[in-house]
Order: sequence, then structure tokens, then C-alpha cells
Amino acid sequence: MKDRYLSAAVLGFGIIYTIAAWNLPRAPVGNPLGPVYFPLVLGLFIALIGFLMLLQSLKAHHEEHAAKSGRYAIRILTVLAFCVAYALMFNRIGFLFSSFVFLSALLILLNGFKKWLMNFSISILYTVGIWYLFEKVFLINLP
Amino acid sequence: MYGFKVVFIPSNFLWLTLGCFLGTVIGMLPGLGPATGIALLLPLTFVMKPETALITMCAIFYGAMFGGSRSSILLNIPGDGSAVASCFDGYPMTLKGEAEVALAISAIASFIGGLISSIAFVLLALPLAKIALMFGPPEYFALMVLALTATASMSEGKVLKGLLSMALGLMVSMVGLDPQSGVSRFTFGNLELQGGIDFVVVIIGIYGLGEVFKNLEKIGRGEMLQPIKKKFGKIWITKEQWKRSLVPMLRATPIGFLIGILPGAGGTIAALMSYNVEKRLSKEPERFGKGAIEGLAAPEAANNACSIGAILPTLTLGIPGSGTAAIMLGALMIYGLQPGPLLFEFYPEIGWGVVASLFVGNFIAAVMNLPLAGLLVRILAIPPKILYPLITALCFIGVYAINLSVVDFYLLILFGLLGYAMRKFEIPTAPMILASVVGRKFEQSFRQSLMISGGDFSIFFKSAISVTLLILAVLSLVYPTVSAALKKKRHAV
Repeated sequence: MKDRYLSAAVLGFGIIYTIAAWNLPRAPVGNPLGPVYFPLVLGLFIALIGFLMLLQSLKAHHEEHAAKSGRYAIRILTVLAFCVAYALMFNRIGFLFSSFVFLSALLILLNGFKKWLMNFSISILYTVGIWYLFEKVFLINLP
Repeated sequence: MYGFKVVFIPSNFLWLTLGCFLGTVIGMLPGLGPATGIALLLPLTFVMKPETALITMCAIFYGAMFGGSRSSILLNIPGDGSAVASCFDGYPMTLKGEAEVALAISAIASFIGGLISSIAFVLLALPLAKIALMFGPPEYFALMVLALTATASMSEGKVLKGLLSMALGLMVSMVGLDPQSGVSRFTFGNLELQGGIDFVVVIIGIYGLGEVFKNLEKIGRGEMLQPIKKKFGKIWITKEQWKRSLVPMLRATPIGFLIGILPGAGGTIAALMSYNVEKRLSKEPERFGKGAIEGLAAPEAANNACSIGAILPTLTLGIPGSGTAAIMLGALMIYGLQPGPLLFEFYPEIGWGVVASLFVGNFIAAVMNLPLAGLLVRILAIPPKILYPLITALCFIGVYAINLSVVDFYLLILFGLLGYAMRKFEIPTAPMILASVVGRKFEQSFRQSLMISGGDFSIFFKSAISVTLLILAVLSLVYPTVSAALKKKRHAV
């Protein structure tokens, strides 16, 4: 079942990509279709793979072992949200502070709030260590 | 000899040692293999001179190959694919109380495999570069077709999913300004995307962050909590054990090296194949899987030989033999170097420096792994719930260091998710990495060929080299399907 959804998605995506490739701007010099050919073929290729996978998954009828991933999905989404928040914060409040918050948040999520002292000290050491390494040793400026 | 001078420059030597150490550590951590290791540590190398950077990356590469087997042997958790075969007999040896012997033989076998292949590397590098000089755009196009299809079809036996992964990688490389016409493609009006998507972001996303997401599932399950043996006796082997493993190691090395040179097939296949060869040749095959020392020595020698074999086409042809080699190729391109037949001529310090670093690095990694094995495995005791947040942060910082742009953060998250989804749907990741690195060159060589011929497709079938390569590419796609069909028939009868 999982494979059937996947292959349908791949097929659809291939078609969309092909259309998008066809609508790419034409080259002003040389062969006007020069930059279009490759993505066009690629899109058709993806659609073909999706189609073949669909055929394969319809032929195969194997038992499903439903994996319970609900609990983990929430955790992954939370981490994902942290990541996006980190990207948003990064330039506004600077590397040191945003990284510290990001790392502490991840550690609290995974390691538990009870070990807060350990979490915070790891975050501080790690952040400052990396900051020092980049700013002083590699001379890469961090915000 | 010139290369050794380069390696023994103090800063290069220091980085070589450090690279071996970091590589070993990363290789030991479950789920993090050489590809992830190099990708994560890539930003560190940006400030170095190109030859130092490449030497460091090579050091991380074989350090990780050495380290990958530690967790296989002690915990039955392979650090990466190529260490899977080391579990078969390595873990039973630990259970039998022979952990010291297992660790010792794995380091020795890796060393011997690496040493012999380094010699083969030296002998083959220049002849191969000479052949490559005859390659024009059509031949390069054919060679890349072969490399891509072979990687796609061999990665995990699922041809369609391999091809899908390859197509995803090619798509990534389409984004940005078209170098020939200046038309911007798939940038969605975003200026920062005009320069294209940096493949380092793809790699760190797919291998680094994707792996973290995948492992978030495991943390709660307590799968990773296993007691680790922390005290070791003398890590060495007896004469009798040495005799037993010598021939298997010598047999496994050429197998591994050849598989490494071939595009597509990587360390996993090399290790498994040499394991099966030993089992078949053995007088007492029933000992395999129960802690036979030959069964550990062979795959260990093969996977190190393979990793060195994979560097050969990367440097001489500019076509990587594996996902990890693709990352190194990409790194070379970041330094503005064009790997290929002329590398050894124009930049001897890089070409020969790398070759010499293979010898020296192998030695360092072996030395590090013998007496220090007991110390190093303690790193395995870091609980994953602390480790993964640290790796996540490292992914972000590494990506930032490439372009100093936060746009890459969103791309990183996107590719991290994609990498997670690919692992969920069992889509191999190596073809995508390879395709995203060579994708641009792939399209350009195709269009250059057509420009030379004035739009005539027959140019791809005019030279013997390109025809042969294209035929091999077709075979690599057809073979797995046919052989699977044959197997089914045999089972049915």
C-alpha cells in the first residue's frame, strides 16, 4: 500500500515537472530549446519510473506490517519546528544565543527536563566551542 | 616520492592524524558512515589548502572504514553498510569472549587490504589518466551514464527506486542559471537559488539531518541501550589465527579493489562478496557465522581495499566510484580544481600527496586502532539522546559555513526531510548524491557533444569507447531484472 501511494506521487510529480520544464524560458541565443531538453526528458523519465513502480506495486500483493509511527511523528515534527525556528532566529539574535536556545531545546526534548543542568552546560560549552573555532581559528564570521 | 614530502609537511601530517581520529570516531557511531562524516566535517576543510583538505578528507574516509567495524564487532550494530558483513562473524567472536582478537584482526586486515590497494593505486593511476585523455564530451557523457545507472541499479537491488533517487539528484542539479544560455531554471524567482543548490547542503541534509530524523524514532525504543564491554586485555592475535586469516585477506583485497573502481558498487557489496567467497572456499563452512576469524578478516580487508579503489576513478577520470567519493569530488570542485586526467600533471602536490597519504594514513589508522581501541570504544557509550542534538547543531553550522546564507538552512531542512522519507520508503540515497554532484557536468557534456555534431545524436555511437560504455550501462540496468526473473523461475521449478 505504502509503495502504491509512493508510485502514484512519483508519477504525478513527474508529470508536473515535465509541464514546468516545458514552460521554462527559451534561450535568447543559440538553440532556443537548449536549456529545456534535459529537464524535459528528466520529467518524462520520472513519470515513467512512477508508472512502472505503480504497475509493480499493483502486481505485488504482500501483507502490510503497519508500523506505529504516530508517537515518533510528533517528535520529528517538534524537532522540525525547532529547526525552522532556529533558521528564523539565526540572523536576528545572533549565532551564540540562537544556537544555545536551539541546542537546549533539542536536549530537553530528548534527554528530559530533569537533567537540565547537564543539558545547559553541554549547550553552552558546545556553542561557545564552535563559535571560538569558527571566529578565531577559521576566521569565518558568525552573526 | 614527491607525495611523501607533501604528506610529511607538519600541518598536513597533523591534519592527517586528526582526520583519522575523527573518522574513526564518526565511523564507530551507529548510523554515521564515511559519507556523513566527510559531509559534516567538510566545512572544516574550507580554510585549508586544497591538498591538505583532500588529505584530511581521505583520512576521515579510511578512519571511518576502520571505525565502522568497531560497533559491528562489539554491539552487532554496523556503523554503515560496508560494516554489515563484519557483524556476521565479528559479533559471535565477541560473544565467545574473543573481542580482543576480533578488534585486532579487523585493524590488521583493514591495514593489509589498504596497503596492497594503495600500491595498486600507484601502478594504475597514470595509465588510467592516459586513457582518460582520449575522452571527449561524448565519451564523458557515456561514462557518466554508466556511473549513474550502475549506482542506481546496484545500490540495493531495487532498480526503479535507485533510478528515482538518481532522477532526484539530477533535478537538484538543474536548479540555477543554465551555464550555456544564462536562462534561470527552477529558481522560483529566488535570487539566492540562481547559483544553484550547493551539493554539500544536499549531502548534509540527506545523510546528516535525515539520519538524525530516522534515529529520533529509535531513541524512545531503547534499541540502542546495550552494555558495552569496556575493559580489554591485550588486543592482538596468535600465530595460528594469523595463518588462518592471511590467505583470506589476500584474496579479499583484489575483490574489494576492483569493486571499488567500478562505478556504483560500493563497500557493502565488496564486503559481502568477499565474505561469501571465503565461505564457499572454506573447508569448514559451518564455522562461518559462529565466530570464524577468516569470516571477519576477509570483509574487513575488502572494504578498505574498496574505499581506496573508489578514489582512483575520482582523481583520474573525475567520475566518482561511490557516494563518499562523490563528496570528495565535489569538494575538489569547490576549490576550483578539475579532477581528471590532468590533475596529476598540473597539481602533482595534490595527486601524489593523496596517494602518499593513503599509505601513511593507513598506517596511522591501524596504529590508532590497535592500542587505542579500548579507549575509543568508550565513545560508543555517549547516549544517543545527547549525541543527536549535537549532530543536528553541527549540520546547521556546517551548512552555514559554506555560503554564509540562511537560505541554505531551509534547504537543509527540506533535504533532511527528503532524506528521512527516502529511508522510510527504502529508496537508496547514494545515486541521488552522485547525481547531484555530477549532474551539471552530465548535462553539459551531453549538450557539448550535440553542439560538436550539430545536433546529430549519432555522435554518441561513433567512438568505440562511448559505445562500450553505453552498452555496459544498458547491461547494468537489465542485469538485475533478468537475474531476479531467472531466480524466480528456478524457485518455481
